[in-house]
Amino acid sequence: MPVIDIQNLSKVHAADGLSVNAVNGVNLQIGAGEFTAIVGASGSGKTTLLNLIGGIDTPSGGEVLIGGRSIGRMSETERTAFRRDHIGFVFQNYNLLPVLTALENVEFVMELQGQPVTDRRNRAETLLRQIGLGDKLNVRPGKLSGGQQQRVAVARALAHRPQFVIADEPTANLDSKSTADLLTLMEQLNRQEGITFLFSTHDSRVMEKARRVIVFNDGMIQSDTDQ
Amino acid sequence: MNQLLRLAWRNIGRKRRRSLIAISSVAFALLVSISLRSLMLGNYDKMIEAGTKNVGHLQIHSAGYWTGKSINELMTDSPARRQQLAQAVGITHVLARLQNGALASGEKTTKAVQVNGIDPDIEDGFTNLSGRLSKGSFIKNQSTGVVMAEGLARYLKLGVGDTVVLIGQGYQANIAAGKYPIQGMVRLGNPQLNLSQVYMPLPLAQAFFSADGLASAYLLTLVDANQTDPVKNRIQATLGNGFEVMTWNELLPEIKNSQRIDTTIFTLLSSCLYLIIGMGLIGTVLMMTLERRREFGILQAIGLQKSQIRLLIILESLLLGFVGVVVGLALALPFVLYMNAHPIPLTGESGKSFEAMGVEPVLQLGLKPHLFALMGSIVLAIMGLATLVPMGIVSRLKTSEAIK
Ligand SMILES: Nc1ncnc2c1ncn2[C@@H]1O[C@H](COP(=O)(O)OP(=O)(O)OP(=O)(O)O)[C@@H](O)[C@H]1O
Ligand SMILES: [Mg+2]
Repeated sequence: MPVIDIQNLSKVHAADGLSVNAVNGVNLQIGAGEFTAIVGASGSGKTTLLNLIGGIDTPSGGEVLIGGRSIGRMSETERTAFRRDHIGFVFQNYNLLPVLTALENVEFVMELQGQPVTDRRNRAETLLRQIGLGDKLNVRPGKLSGGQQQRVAVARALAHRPQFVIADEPTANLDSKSTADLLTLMEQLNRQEGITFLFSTHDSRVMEKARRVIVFNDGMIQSDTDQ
Repeated sequence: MNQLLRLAWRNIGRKRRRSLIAISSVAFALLVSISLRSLMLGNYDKMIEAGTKNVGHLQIHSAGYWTGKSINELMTDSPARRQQLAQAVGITHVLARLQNGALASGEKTTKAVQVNGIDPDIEDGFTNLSGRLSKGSFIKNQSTGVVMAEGLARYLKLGVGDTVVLIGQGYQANIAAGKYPIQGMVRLGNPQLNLSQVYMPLPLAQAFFSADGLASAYLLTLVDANQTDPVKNRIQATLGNGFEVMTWNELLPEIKNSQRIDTTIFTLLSSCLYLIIGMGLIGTVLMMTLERRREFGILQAIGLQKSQIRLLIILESLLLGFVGVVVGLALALPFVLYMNAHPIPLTGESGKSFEAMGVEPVLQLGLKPHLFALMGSIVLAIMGLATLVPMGIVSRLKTSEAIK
């Protein structure tokens, strides 16, 4: 069974009397352990699709099934709890809470879940060491570079062992060196820990790292290739 | 909750300057309002103290006496009855008085006076009248002379050892008339009283007014001046309808009135103060919410419920207010304590007007713990109010919009 099962999904954005079919009848399955990129021109609907998959937004039609459960049928409270327990998120920027240290940021979702302090602290420390930030445990995001911040965000997204991690243009604000580092890290975590990653990008160098590339255009899947 | 509390606490430290402004404005409002009110309340305490020295905490009269103060509405007085009252719970002194107006004549002049028949020992224990003695000696229960206010004696051109002639109306249309040697003089603070008071032992006054075994009032003093109402009700119930029992509040309506005026002024002033400062605080909390839309969106995305975000804002707002209250109280408490221990003496006209009322001429801040609690609660209530609009903003927050 795929981790993510999307059936005939559509989303209509209505604004100023105009409506946009941002996602238009998409069928898609993502399996466990995938490392998949969604690419497409600006305005093609990548963010809208990822928001629907992540339960941040609700479909206008069709279904998103995560582990067999339909996101669209949940109440807002249920969806929020579902996101907390089953999905990891990396956003383009300002992911981290500025008043918490790197360690506390990585612990945050686990603490929200009520995990015991020693468990979550060990897990967060291990992850930060693994991503090469073992010396930055008690540093706040403001004192970290953009690339370091995104790595902490990746660590936070997967610390609570979600079913998959969604990353909407995680490298959009990074220079090429940091972009390459982040991608290497994600790939490594995918290989070693079996974390399922679904990310969007504009960047062809990022695209190249993906093992499956879905090209999105006008709210529809134009091509879907394994590489 | 712990997690949110820690987050809230850190968020307050985030915009340090803004938080400091909010905290100091709260502290300032508390310091000003508490000091002002403490001054007013301290002043009442003095007025009440001086007032009750004159009228006692409670008075018992024959029903209806107080409105007319007629010599014909007296009540029976007996040592047994006084003793019985004195033994009731919460009562420290019972003073019997027989008072009425009369005319006093000296060599050439005559003047309207107030004749006070008192129980010298007990009265002195309460009002320390003998402490005001300026000439001669104080009266005793068996004395046949009187003590006169100094101003009155001067007006009548009488001295210690001279005789004063008193004429007036006695009980039940008897004529009251008598000649009394002046045994001593007292200097009274209130100029009006200093020109009008004559004191004699109660038995002598009863004889003068043909009112044997009668008194116009019993003055009661209580262990706790705040317990007037329950004690009044208890005594009224035992004595029955033939008597009226009145509290100092009813006996001295002017204190209540000036209290009411002061309270109104204070309420207006402090409302303005809290309104201005409240606006600032409401603005601060609103800013704290508006500038963090994206952060709240991300928090929601990674699993914080809206209710938790609302709680976070409430915690931040209350913490901010709480810190302000702590700082404000930390400033106000020592100030009030110091000013309570070191009253400022009043000189000149204002000092004189205090003395005229028999009030010690000082500005002394009262020490009222409830005031600190009240003002602190008002600030926290404002901080609660300040979260209302932010609550609405969070409710309408759409995660997908907020994280854009
Ligand atoms: N909240 C909204 N209201 C109205 N229209 C919207 C809204 N969000 C997105 N759209 C529209 O839907 C379409 C898809 O937008 P979306 O943000 O999903 O594209 P994208 O592929 O992520 O673009 P980019 O690469 O610029 O991030 C666009 O035409 C956009 O203008
Ligand atoms: Mg996008």
